[in-house]
Amino acid sequence: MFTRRQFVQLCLKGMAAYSLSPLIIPRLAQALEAMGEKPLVLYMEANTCAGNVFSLLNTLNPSLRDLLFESLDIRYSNTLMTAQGEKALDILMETVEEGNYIVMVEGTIPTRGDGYYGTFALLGEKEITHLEMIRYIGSKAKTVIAVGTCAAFGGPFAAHPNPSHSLPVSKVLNRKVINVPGCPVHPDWIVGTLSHVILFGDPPLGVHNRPLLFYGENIHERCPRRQMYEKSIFARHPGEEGCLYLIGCKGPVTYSDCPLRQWIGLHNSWPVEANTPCIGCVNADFPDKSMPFFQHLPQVGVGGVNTTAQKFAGAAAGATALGIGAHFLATTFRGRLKMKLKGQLRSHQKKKGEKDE
Amino acid sequence: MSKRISIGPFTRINGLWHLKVEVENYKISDAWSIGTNFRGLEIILMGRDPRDAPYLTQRICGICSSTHALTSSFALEKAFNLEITPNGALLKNLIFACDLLQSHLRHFYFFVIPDYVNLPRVNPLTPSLVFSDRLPQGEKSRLLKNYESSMEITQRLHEMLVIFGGKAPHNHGILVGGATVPPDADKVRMFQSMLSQVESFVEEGLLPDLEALSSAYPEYYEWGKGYENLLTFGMFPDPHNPGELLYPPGIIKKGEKGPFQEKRVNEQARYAFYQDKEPLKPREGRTTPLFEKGQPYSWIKAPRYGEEVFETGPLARQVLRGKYKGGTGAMDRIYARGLECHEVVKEMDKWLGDLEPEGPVFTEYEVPARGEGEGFLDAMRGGLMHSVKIRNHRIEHYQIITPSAWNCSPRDNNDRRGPLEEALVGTPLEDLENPVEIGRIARSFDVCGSCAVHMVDLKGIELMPGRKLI
Repeated sequence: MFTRRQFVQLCLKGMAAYSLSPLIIPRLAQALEAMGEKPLVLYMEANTCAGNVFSLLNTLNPSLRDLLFESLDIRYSNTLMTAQGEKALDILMETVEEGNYIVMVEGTIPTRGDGYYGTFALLGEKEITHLEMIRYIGSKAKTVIAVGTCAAFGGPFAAHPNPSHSLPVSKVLNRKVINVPGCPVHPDWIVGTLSHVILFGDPPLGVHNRPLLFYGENIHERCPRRQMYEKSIFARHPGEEGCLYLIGCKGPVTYSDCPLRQWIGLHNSWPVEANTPCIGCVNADFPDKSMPFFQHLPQVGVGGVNTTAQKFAGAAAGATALGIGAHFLATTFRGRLKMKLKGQLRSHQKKKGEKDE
Repeated sequence: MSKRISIGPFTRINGLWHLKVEVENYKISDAWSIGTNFRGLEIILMGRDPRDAPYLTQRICGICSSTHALTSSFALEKAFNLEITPNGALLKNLIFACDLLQSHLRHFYFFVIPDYVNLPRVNPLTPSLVFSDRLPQGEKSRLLKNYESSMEITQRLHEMLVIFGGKAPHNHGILVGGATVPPDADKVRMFQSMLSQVESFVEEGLLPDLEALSSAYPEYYEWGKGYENLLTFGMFPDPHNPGELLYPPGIIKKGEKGPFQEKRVNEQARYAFYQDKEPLKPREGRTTPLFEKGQPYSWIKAPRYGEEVFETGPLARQVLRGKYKGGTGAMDRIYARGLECHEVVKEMDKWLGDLEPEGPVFTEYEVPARGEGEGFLDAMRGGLMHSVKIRNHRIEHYQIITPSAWNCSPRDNNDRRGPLEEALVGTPLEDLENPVEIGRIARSFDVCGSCAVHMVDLKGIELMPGRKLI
C-alpha cells in the first residue's frame, strides 16, 4: 500500500504525466483487494454532449481495459452497457437499493417545465426526468462526483440566456459534490479523483469544490510560454508561435494543470501548444466570461460584453478566490506591461496601415 | 394482439434518446423516435462573436465534436469571403478524419457488437442481451480480442487529433481561417506512425470482423430498409480547389442518383415540441420551445428534402460514389461505414504527403459587419448544416441541422414517419421479451442523441444588460 501523501505526489504535476499508471494500478488493485470488492460506480449522463465519457474512454494510464474489467464495478453507463431500456433501469435501481456506490454525473440538469425539457427514462408511457433521477440517485450515493464543466457549473448549455433553465448538479442536490470540471474533463483528472475517493476518501478541495490536486495551479504561472509574455513576444493571430495573451488566452484567470500535464495519454499537446488561446474551460463561469474567446482579458466581459478592467477584476476575484490577481492585474494595468501591450498594438496597427496603402 | 415496447434509456448510443414501437403478431407495426432533451445552443449563440462559433458549436456533441467545428468554420468562411491555405484545409481535414475514424470504430465495437455477440461477463457488459450468438468460435475470439484493441486504437486516434488539435474531444485546431499547428517534420512523423497502426487495425481487425458479422446475420441486409432514399451533402473540402468537395454531394432516390439542391432542405415541427409548425427554410428557421402533452412527442424536428423523407450517413456517401453496391438494409449501413474507414485511412496518408512543412496554416481576416453563409458538409453520421447570419460583427442568427435529426426525425407535417421509424416497421420479432432486433436496426443508423436536439428562438429572449442584438 502507499500513503495518501505518496499518492498526492504522484498526481501532482509532471510526475503524473508519465507515471500515474504503473505506480497506481498495482497498488489500486491491492487496496481494492483489501476492501474485498470492487467499488460500485454509476455513470449518469444528463443534458450533455457525452464528451466527458468519451474523454474518459481516452484514458491511457490506467487503460480503459483496466478500469472496466479490473478496477471498478461500473454498473451503469449509457455509452457502454449492454442492457437497454427497462433492464438497464432495473440494474440502476438494484444498485441504488444496494447502496454504498459512487455516482459520477456529467451534463447539466434542465429544470424548465418541471424538468421535462430533459428526460432520462421512459417507463411504458411515463417519462422520468433527469431532475427526478439525479435527485434520487444522488441523495443515496456515498460520493457524488460532477464530471465536466456542465455538471460542475452549468457549462455551455447553461450559458446566457440558459434556454433550458439548466442547473449544475450541486444546485439540485442538497449535499457535498466533488466538482471535476473541464470541457471536456482530462481523463487523468477524473481517474485521479476517483482513485483518491476510493483509496483515501474525498480529496482536499479548493474553491468551487475542485480537487486541489489538479486545479490548484494557475495556467499563466506554469505556462511554458511565460517567458514570451515577459519578453513581449505576442502572437497576433492563432497559429502564430508566441504568448497568446493578446488574442484571448484565459490562462491568467484559469486554474488547472494543463501546461504540465498536457493532453491526453501521451501528453503531447494542449491548446497553447497548438497556438490557440486557453478558453478557461474549467472555470465556474465558462463559457460566458471566457467569451469572446479571442478577445484579450481586460476586455472580456459578461456574456460577450466589453467591460472595464475594474469590473473585470471584481468579477475575477469573486470567481477565483485563489486570488488571481493582485500581481497580475497590477503588472498589467499599472506597470511595464501596459506599455508593452500598447507598443504591440501600435506596431500591429502600423502594419495594417501599410497594407491598406 | 398488439403490444407496446418502450426502450428508454436507449443505451449504447451517443447521448440520450428513446424509442417506442408497437408490435402486432410478432411484427413491428409502428415506431416513434423520441428526442429527449432540449438545449437551445442556437439561442445561446446569438449576439456572440462569430469567431467563437467553431469552438462553441463543438460542445453539441462529444463523439463528433470536430465535425461541428469544421462545418461551422466552413459556413463562416463563406460569410467572410475568406479563402484558406491548402495547408489549413488539409490539417482541418486530417483532424476531422481522425475523429471520423474514432467515431466509426467506437460505434462498431462499443455500440453494435454487443447486439450480436455475447461479451465477457463483466459489468457494465453484463447482463448481456438474450439471443443465440451465431458467430463461429474462431471468429468470435478474434472479434473479442479486437474489441479490446479497439479501445486502444480509438484512443490513439484522439492522440493523433491532439497533435494538430491541442485537445480532444473539443479540439482547438479547427478555426475560421484555417488550422493552427504548423506541420513540421516531427509532428508529421508522429502522426504517420500512429496512422499506420490504425491502418493495420482497420485492415486486419475491422474488415474481417465486419465480414464475419455480416455473413453470420445475413437477414439484416433485408431488414431495416426504410424509404430507400439516401442523401449526402458531400464530405471533406478540397484543399486545392476552394469551394469544391472531395466527396461530392448528391441524392439517391429509390436507386436513381440525382443532384443535391440546398434550397429544398426544410424543417417541419408538427410532432415536435415547438411553436412554429409550418415548414421553414434553415435560414429562417426559428423555434420557440413549447412543451405540451399530446400530439408532439419529440424534441427533434423533422428535416425534409422538399416533401420527401431521406436518410443520411456513410451508406449514402459510399453508394453515391459507386464504392458500395448493395441494398439499404441495416447491415448495409454497418458495412458501408466500415468500408469508409478503410478509404479514409488511405486518404489521410495522401493528405499527410501533401502538407507543405513551411507553408502557412492560418489566414488572417477581419470580421465583416454583415455577412451570411451556409455550410453543407457531411459529418460521420451524414449531412450536417450550419447556417449563420452576421450583423454588426455579431451572430444575428444561427441554425444547425444535424444528421441524427434527419435519421431520427419524428413524423413530418404530412404524417410520414422519419427514416429510422420507417426502417423498423415490418421487422419480425422472435421473442417479445427480448426484442434484440429493434436495437440492431436502430443502432445501424449510428444514433446521436446529443446532436439530434437543437432549436432556436428569436422572440422573447431576455438579453443580458449591455448585450445588443441590434
